[in-house]
Amino acid sequence: MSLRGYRLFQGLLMALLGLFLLSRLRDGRILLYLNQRFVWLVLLAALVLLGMAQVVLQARPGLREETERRSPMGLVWLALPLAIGVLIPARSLTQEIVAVRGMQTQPIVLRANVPARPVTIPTTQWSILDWIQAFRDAPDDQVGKAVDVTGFVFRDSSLRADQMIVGRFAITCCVADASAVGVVVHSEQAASFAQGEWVRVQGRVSWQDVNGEAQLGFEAETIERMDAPEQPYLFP
Amino acid sequence: MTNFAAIFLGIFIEAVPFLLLGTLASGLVEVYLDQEKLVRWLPRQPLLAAVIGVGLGLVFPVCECGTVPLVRRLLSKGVPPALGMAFLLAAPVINPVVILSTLTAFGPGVVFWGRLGLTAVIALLVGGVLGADPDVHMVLRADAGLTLHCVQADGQLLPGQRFRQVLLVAADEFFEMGRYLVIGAALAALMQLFLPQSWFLAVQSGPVLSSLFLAALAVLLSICSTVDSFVALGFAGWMPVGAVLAFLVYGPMVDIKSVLMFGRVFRKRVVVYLVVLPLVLTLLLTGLINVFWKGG
Repeated sequence: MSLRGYRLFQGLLMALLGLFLLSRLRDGRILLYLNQRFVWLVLLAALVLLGMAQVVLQARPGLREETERRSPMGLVWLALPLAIGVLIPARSLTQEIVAVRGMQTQPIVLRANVPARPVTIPTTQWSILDWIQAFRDAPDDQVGKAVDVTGFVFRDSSLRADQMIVGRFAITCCVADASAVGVVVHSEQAASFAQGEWVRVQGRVSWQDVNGEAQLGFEAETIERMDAPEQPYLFP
Repeated sequence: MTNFAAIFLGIFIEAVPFLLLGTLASGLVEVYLDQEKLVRWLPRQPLLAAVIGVGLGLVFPVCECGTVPLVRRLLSKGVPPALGMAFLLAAPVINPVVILSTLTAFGPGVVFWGRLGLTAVIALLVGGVLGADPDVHMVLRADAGLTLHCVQADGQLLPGQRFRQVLLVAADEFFEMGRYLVIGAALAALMQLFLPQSWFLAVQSGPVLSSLFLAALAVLLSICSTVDSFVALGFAGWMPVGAVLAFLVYGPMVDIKSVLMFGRVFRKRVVVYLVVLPLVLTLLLTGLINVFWKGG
């Protein structure tokens, strides 16, 4: 390919990549790929790509470069993420990924120096991640507190028929590090919910017997089926 | 397929800003750095050059996606190989952004100082060994792309033209290195989908195996060094401190996408050394920490 033709396609591809990132930022779907803390970096990258695209498209080969030939293969590789991003609808990770990564139900540390939820926020507004952090920091203080959380249903062989896990994916950086976190829920209706189904659980914190071990969980008062939320991830 | 697309695009989109930063730095070096002055000022003695390479990340804050194009450009400008190789391994950790993120995640304790110290020692040793011969062709491939849009520092160019030149160099580097980012992100996504993490958990005990486990996981996840501290926090409670350090030290030096980039720029022998030497040193040093560090 001549240098002039190469520059044309290179500039167009950079512009399209920049516009793709901007479109994902505009409709909020960028949060299906990354933690919100890194959104400004993507905005910056999109603007730099557009600026570079303009310079590349305006570049005129010098006399010595007129006869230069370049392989278009490099352009093809960078077209791949663009094609995947445009052709495959942006969706959150499905619960099948839990089978590969496992479900974390024990108190874990996802980010240090993050203060626990202020006591001024009602516990019914806490997310699963807030609960897991509270279970780690002061387990006995949480028993009896009111709960209202949403998440997907996960069940494994360690749970009884009247137990299930309500879980979410937590993303520290990008979906590559997504970890499934969840809390055990006790309910007589537990068996009626399908794996991966989204539910809203209301109830109270209580100690649960999981495989012979005491573990903090939720005693459900009501469980409602619901659609997956627009933003299914939790960001520590 | 949607899980593959989500993970692949997650890694790619997260890495693009840092790859751009590296290629822009490479463009600035190419257009603005005077080759003659650079060669005159820098020490030729390998160990001294490696010491400067270890600290150079404080001036060029690039992570692993950006170091390869920048090192290639620096080597083409006459920078001693020892400096270039030490910079390649150290810069993804010893730079202001990663220092701050590690401090935020772990505080000024053993993990923070251990990460900086082990990275510096390993980069110094490997840089000194690989750069013992001052001939740049001993490390770079013959077709490493040194002529790729090379620009002579031309005093006749106006500032605006020079800046456009920087962006043209950066654009070419972005496409050349970007292909390895795409391949690396795709491989990492496939491995994450089909390699159960429970397989690794079987070897989490033992001072060396635990370090090997988390070093392998760092390679597999291919997460940018600017944010890997927050991911490593997830292991802090249940893995030995040396193993957490192995994740934080080896991961930024070697991961799937950086190995592919190494292969484009460096000789095969050098790529093997770049993968194996830091791994052996990481396992040795973090294994010793696992044995002798009793907390506190």
